[in-house]
Amino acid sequence: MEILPASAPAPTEAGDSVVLDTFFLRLLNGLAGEFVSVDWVTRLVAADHVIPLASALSLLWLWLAGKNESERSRWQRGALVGLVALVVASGVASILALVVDRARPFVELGGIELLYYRPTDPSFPAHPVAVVVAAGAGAAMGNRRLGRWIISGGIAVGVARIVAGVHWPSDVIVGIALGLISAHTVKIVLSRTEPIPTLMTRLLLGSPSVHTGRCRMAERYPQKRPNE
Amino acid sequence: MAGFEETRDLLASHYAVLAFLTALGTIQLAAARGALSGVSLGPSPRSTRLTGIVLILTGFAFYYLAPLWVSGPWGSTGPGSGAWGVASLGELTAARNINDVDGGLSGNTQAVILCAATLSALALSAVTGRVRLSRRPTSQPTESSSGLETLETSTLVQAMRSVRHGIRSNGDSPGLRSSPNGGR
Repeated sequence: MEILPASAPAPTEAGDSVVLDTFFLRLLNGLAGEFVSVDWVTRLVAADHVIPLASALSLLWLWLAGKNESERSRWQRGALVGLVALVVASGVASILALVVDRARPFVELGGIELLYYRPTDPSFPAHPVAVVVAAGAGAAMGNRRLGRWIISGGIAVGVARIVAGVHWPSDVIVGIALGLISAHTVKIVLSRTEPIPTLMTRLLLGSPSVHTGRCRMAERYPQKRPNE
Repeated sequence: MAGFEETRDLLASHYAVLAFLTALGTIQLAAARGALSGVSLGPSPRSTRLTGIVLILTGFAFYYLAPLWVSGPWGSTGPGSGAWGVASLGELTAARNINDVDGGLSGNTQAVILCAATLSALALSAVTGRVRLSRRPTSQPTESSSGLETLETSTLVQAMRSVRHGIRSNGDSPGLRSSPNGGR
């Protein structure tokens, strides 16, 4: 397998990172077209429809499925953070795509086996990966197990898209980082804007005691008042 | 021979079916676990859970198997070629991967369809729950319940009324109460 053909961009000031990006792209894309089953699964996982839809519906499930007051409160907090983080990650990814305007691997390099349609928008960052990971990281704040599954799904989308030849590995890594940062930023912002998040969740038939941070901690460990 | 709009309409309608069935199934799975009778399609948690699983599987099966018998811009034919046909088994997972500039669904379009489908699924669940609960002895939400737990014994409409009433009249409800240190 040819790893760095003559058509690969010469490492310049970016140096080793470009070489590594190209190396891992060639390595994973080398799987495309070799096995019918791998191609079949790659096309399914890389699609816009399956895992992004499943992650959004997981947030819906998380909102509704809590068995008791405490669980509902915690899970709905995760679902709320996941939903807002998903929107934030999508917005930031769109802006980054405009600013960086990076070409797709199949445009930049020769010999890429393409398993997907030829996207016309910029490659950087991996938009669906950022969105799914943001939803998962938010969900993990309420239900760690479900959150891990969603994040794994987001990583699977990223790997499948590298195999399919439509993203650089660095696009996927930045997409994952963007999703995680979005979720943590949203969590901090929501905890500092109480009681607005609580009011929002109550209007959406949320648990009456959904809190997104310090209020919840205060409720769990109440401080003694001076006259008590 | 078909163009951009025909491709987009076909994909949007199929995606709407997928989103509606899977959202309805997800609501049922959640209702079974959370014992939310107000939005359950089945009479018991077990049947509600089974209904949810069947709905989700049906949604994905329809979406991914429909190209086998529905004529469309699938697989190797592609929208660029302008020719429609049915897909083969090998083309199934690639059949739906169509660029939005060729009539595929953009992320924003998918989000709008998913929101509409989820609201429709919730409305259908609420109506069904209302019909079932109306056959039971009258049950009103208790004063202490003001969140999702009201759906365990009441309909979605009753629960929404209860929440609205609680927000208007009860500033000291747990959800709105500020923490002892002023929310900081």
